Amino acid sequence: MTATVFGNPLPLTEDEFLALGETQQRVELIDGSLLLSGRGAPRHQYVVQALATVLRAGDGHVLAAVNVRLRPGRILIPDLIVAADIDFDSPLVEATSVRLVAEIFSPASPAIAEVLRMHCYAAAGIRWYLLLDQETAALRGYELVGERYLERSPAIMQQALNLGTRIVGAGLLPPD
Amino acid sequence: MTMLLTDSPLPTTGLPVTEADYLALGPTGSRVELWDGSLHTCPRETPRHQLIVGALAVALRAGRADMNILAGVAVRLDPGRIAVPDLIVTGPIDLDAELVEAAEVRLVCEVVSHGSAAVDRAMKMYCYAAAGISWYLLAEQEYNALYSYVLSGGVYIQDSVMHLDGVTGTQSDN
Repeated sequence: MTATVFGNPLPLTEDEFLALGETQQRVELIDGSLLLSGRGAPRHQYVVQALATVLRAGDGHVLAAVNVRLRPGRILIPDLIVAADIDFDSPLVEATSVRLVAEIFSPASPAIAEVLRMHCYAAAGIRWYLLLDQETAALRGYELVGERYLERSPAIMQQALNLGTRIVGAGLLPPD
Repeated sequence: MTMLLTDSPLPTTGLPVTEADYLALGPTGSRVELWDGSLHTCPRETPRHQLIVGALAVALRAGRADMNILAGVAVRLDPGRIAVPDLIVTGPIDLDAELVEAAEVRLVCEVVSHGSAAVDRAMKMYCYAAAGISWYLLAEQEYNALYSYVLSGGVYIQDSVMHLDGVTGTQSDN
């Protein structure tokens, strides 16, 4: 990626951002600025897949690490989304077709998931936001009411997402 | 860790980033901040943004010699969390340190620009409060307003709103 990235002064447009293609890190576009994060340890990937399996019991398509356009010039890459009616060959999923976003975070790095992403997903009108702590298995589900996310119980989430069972955080961690 | 961040917005390897990695970046072409292992990198600022920063620095100085008004220095909010505010106000500090500690910062000020709005309004509002910085000034170019927030019970409470009028430079006609 070195060759394509060097010589790209900020701010980046959406086209320039998409032209970066596959990158070694999670690279996200926030209004012309870039947020660079690691791809995540094996634990992170394990938990992402485990949660995806649970969410697949419900409605919609469950996709990991795709570009979601929250608004023009703001493209984040959630760990997981649940979406309906999407173009599977488009480089971008529009926020309007995203029903749920899930982020699996490390308790050592809470600020991005708990503050920045929550703010951006709420501003984009994404109805559900799931936050899962990959160390303690603490799971919180939020539903957008007006402009804010309100925490909902596992039972309410199960019903709203049409899942067969409640999501239990502890069942999603790798075995010790 | 190998990091190449001279004029590029992107490092090529090695995320997540530690404080040592971050400090080893040295001067960078754009503003780079460290948020719990992630890097946030913003475009260089516009002349208008810098004009407002300069005017606010003068206003904050207010004739007092016992404070430092500093632009664009790195502040450690928490281990692994380093922001570069537009302006900070401190008492006496080590002026040659590579980082200012949050406990030394009395007031922090951000002039919101397009690329940093989400970070300024959400992330920094939360993280500056979590770091215990008593005052947060947020200059909103979009609304021509300067919001001041005071720390109370661990969160910022809005204290006042002032007009940003009077911060005008010399602009060409075209």
